[in-house]
Amino acid sequence: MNKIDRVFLVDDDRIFLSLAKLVLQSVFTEADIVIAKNGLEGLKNLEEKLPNLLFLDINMPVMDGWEFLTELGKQPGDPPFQIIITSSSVDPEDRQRAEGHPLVNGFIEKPITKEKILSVVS
Amino acid sequence: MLNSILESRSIYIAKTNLDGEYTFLNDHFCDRLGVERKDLIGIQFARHTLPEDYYKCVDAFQRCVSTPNVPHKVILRKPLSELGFITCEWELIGLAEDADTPEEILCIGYDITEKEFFEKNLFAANQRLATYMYNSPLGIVEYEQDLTIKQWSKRSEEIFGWTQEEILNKNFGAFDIIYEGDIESTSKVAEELLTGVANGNISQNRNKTKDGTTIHCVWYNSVVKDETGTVKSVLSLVQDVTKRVTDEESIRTSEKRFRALIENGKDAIAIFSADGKPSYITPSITKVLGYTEEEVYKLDILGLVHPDDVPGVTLALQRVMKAPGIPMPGHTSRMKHKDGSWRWIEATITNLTDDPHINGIVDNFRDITESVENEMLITKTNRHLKRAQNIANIGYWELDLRTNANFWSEEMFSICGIDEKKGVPSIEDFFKLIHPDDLVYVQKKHLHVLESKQTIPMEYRFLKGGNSLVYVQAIASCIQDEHGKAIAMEGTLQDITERKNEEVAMKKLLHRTTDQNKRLKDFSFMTSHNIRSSVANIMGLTSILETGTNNEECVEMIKTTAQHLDITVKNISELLNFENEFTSVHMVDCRVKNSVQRTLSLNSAVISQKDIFVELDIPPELTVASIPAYLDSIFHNLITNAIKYGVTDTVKQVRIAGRKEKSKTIIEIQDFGLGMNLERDGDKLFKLGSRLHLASEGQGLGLYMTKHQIEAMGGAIEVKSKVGHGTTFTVILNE
Repeated sequence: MNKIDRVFLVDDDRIFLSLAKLVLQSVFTEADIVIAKNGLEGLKNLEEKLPNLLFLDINMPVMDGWEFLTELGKQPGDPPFQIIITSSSVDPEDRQRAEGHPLVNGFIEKPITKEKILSVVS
Repeated sequence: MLNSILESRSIYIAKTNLDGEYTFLNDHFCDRLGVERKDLIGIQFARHTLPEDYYKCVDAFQRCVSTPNVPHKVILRKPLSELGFITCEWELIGLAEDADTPEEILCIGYDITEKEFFEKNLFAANQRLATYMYNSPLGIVEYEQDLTIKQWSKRSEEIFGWTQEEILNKNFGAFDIIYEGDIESTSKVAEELLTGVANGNISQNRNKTKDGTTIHCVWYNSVVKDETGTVKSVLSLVQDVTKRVTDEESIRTSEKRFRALIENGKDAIAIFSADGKPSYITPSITKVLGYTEEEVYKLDILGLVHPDDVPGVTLALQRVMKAPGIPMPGHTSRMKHKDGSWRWIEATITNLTDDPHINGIVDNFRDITESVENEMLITKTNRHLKRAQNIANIGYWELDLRTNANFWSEEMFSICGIDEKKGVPSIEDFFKLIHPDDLVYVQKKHLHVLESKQTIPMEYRFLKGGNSLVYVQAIASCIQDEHGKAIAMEGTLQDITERKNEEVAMKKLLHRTTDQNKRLKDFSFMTSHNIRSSVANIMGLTSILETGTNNEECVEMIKTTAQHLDITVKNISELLNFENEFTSVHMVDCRVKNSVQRTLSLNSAVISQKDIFVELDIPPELTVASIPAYLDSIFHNLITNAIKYGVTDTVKQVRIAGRKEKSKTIIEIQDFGLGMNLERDGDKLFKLGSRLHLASEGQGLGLYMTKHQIEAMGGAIEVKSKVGHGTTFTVILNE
């Protein structure tokens, strides 16, 4: 695993963000954890800096995870970071869609844990 | 010698003086005339003739005087004493010895009365013969040994076509007059005659006419011989018997056919006496009753009649006996077949006992068991079919395209609401009852049936009895003749109004159920997601609690999570109620203003706290047909959204307006806040679980439920928004 300097967390759930931040810090001890509360904020963050990893929720206000991926896909070239979907969705369509999406590298079902992160991050 | 001559018994002799007076008559003459000699002596010879012969006689006398001793012949008639006269050829001679002047006249008469009579008769006979021959149906043909044709009568011309000019004196062989197949036999007949083997014969053979037609002729042939007995020619009388031969052939054919029909047909004919004894029976009896002719002659035919039918047969026979010569057709009864089965027999009975050639009762009968059974089956089937049509409410119709004759079953009248007593309507009148919007469709379908010869189903609306709209299902097909030409149309008609209404209700129900399923599925995913999110958070938080760090913060977060869970569970309950209400749509008139005011009253604390100005522009009398709970819920969601998201620190106004527009009630909830980017978010505005605002505390249920509640009442919701200028939701409900 390459060195992880920066991890983006995109989720509207305040409590999840707190918990995920703690877990991520325990895994990527030197990484800078950047938080965005919806897809739109996430895109704005990407304009400033690029992460090594991006954890993306699906159901969010303003701009959800799918819309975020659509907007990201409009930019030239593949993003130079991994995108992991994190969701509580039980809709099998969401998981299938995530697995088949060209920009998505993994799917983690909430709650997020150290083991789950290590199993999907290459 | 002279005396013997004068008294000759074969000639008449008289003498006169120069004055022509009788001076002598021989006995034979007197006897023939039936007079006494003395009565004629002194009477003038010329006066003693028929008046028509007088001058002829005088003239002859004068010539005798002028040229004596020369006989002058003259035929004169002498009257008899009784009726009649004799005709004699007279030789008158002026007897003179030596002088130029005769002394007396000698009259010698040869009686030619009989000869003249026969000659006259012969002439008349010849005339008649010529006439007969000319008019005879027989042609006359005479040919000589070398076959040269010497006689060819007018009738021969008519029979064969060749004229006398064409055929006379020419060789028989030069004409194609004998039918090729009969040349050999005809030659033999001719040979017999020409060789003298036969003096005459009669032959019948086929001949050819000038135009090549084959005719049948009878030849009555006779030979003509000279005084030495040598055959000089053959004289034939020819009769054209073509018609007779053709007629005879026709009769023979007809007889054969008739016999074949009588003896081999399905019908049997029996002639029997009044007591039932048969005197004649056709062989076809075996086909009808199984008995041979011989067996039937020994039977009592009446004894074969079914006991139940005996009275009817007896009555029929009594009637027939009372009406000789009049056929009594169609009498049906059962008779016992030889195999023991009962057969239905249809008989036509005629009493011909008065006819000496028949002398009996003629019974023309046949086995109609199959047709009777078929008829009974058809009657039964028709009864069942009629009943089935009645039960299934199906009408049957038929239209004869050649005569325009139209048949309708009873059900057709019932389905179309037309009085059967008025009869079947014309096709034009029937089409007038079809719904105008469906008429062209129906006409095209029927035309297609005629063109394609296919059976085609169709459904259309029909004004039953001219006023009540019903749905009918029709099937039309085409009846063709043996050449494939359409000669009639037939079809069925069924009232399917009830089924159609049920189908519409079923479609609505299916649509509603599908919608509901979709909503429930979306809802279950959403609530599961929310619950799992909370559960995941609790799991994460409890693991932190176990580490003993940040306990206070964790407990706070657990509380928040529990609240989220509570909201989710409440939402489950709310949505379940929503679905329950959704299935029982009961609309009543609601005052719009009252419903809006209830919402404002519930939110008065927030309104007051945020210092929001609510402009209410709804006429008090404005009502709308709706479900009261829905109406309150709609206004609650839209007004609280406006309060939450349509109010900024500087703009704190909400406008609620209502009005009637034609048959619709329009209610607008307008704010002047931040507005939305509809181009981006318009699609997910009413979607379950959608949240457009970061500050949203909800779970994306409000607008979703609002939209469905409005649509459940047959209405619609529209939204207009502009970022920075506010949002207007417009609810449109039917009156």
